[in-house]
Amino acid sequence: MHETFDNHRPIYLQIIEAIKRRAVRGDFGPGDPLPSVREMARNMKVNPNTMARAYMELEREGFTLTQRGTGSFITKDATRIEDERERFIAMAVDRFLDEIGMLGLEEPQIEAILETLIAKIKDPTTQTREESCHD
Amino acid sequence: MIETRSLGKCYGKRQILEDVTLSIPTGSFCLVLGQNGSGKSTLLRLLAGVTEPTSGAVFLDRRPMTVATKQTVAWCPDVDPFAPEMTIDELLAFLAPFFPGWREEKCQSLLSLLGLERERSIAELSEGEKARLKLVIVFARPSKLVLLDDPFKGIDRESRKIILDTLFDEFPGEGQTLVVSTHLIKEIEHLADEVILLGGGRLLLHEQAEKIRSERGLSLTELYDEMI
Repeated sequence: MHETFDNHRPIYLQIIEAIKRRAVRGDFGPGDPLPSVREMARNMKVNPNTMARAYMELEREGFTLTQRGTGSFITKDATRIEDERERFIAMAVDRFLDEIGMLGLEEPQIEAILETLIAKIKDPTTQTREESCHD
Repeated sequence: MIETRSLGKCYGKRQILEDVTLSIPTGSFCLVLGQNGSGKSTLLRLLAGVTEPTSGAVFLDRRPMTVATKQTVAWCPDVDPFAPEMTIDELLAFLAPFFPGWREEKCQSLLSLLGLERERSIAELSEGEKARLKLVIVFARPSKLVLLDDPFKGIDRESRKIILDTLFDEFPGEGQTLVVSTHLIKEIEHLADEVILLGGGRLLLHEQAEKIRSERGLSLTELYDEMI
C-alpha cells in the first residue's frame, strides 16, 4: 500500500506509525513475519536506509523481534498491538475534538452530533458485521 | 565513503569552489542543492575525478583517486554527451567496452523499462528520452559511487516521474552511494539520507535529512528557501 509522508517530520517515525497502524488493522498479527527491509522500502516507496532505521527502532521498542537469518517478526505479545490501537484511537478522537472545538460547539452539541453520526454508521453495518462473524 | 579535504577549484582567476571538506558515508542517497553557479556541477566533476582540483583532494574509501578507483565511479554530466548520428544500439556498443563489468542484461531491462528502443537514432530523442538513456548507461555499469548531475534538467513531467522511479528502484541502500544534484527538491527530498547545500562555491550545510526534519522541523524545500 502506498503511504504519503510529511516532509516536515522524520520519515522513519512516520514509517514506524504506518507499520503499527498496519498491525492494528490486522495486516500483521502477533508473531507474524514482516517483509524484508528492502521489500518494505519498495512497498512504501522510501529509502531502504530509512526503512532499516525504522526496523531498528521498532525492535528497540520491543514491537518487533529480529532473528538473525530469519528476519523480523511482530511481537507475540498481543497487548502491545492493543495498546497501539488505543493510542491511535485516542489520537483520532483528540484530532476530532480539536477540530470540532474550533467551531465553538459546546459539549452537549458535540454529544448530539456524535450520536447522530453513530446511528448513521450503525444502521447499515451492524448486520454485515454479525454475518461476517459466522464465517 | 567519499571524502573531500579543503577542496577548491579555479577556472582562470574565477574561484568556482572553495574549501569544501565533507564526507559522504557509503550507501547513502545524497542530494546536492544550490542555485545555478553555486558549484554543484564542479563538485560532482571533482568527486568523479574528471576534473583536477586546484587545491585539496578527494578520497574514495580513504584512498586518493586513481585510474583504478575512477573505474568504480559512474558520473553522468548535465550536458548532452551523445553523438546525434548514432542509434541507441550503436552508442551502447561503442560505450560498453569502456566500462569493465558492463551488465548487458541490466542494460536491456532498463531500456525496456524506460521505453527506449535500440534502433532509434539519438537525433530523434526528446530531452526526456536522452535523460533516460543517460540513466541506462549509468546503471548498466557496476559502480560504488554514482554521481548524477541534474538528471531532471529541462525534461517533461512524465520523464521526471520515470527517472525518479528508476532512481528509487536502482538505489540499493548498501554498497553503492548515490549523489544527485538537482533543483527539484520537493519531488525527491523524502528519499535523501544526506543534504549538501552549496552557495557561492562554499559549503553552506551538510546534514542528515532526518536530522533537519527532527531538529528544525523543516522540509528540505523550506530549508533551502530559508538559507538561499
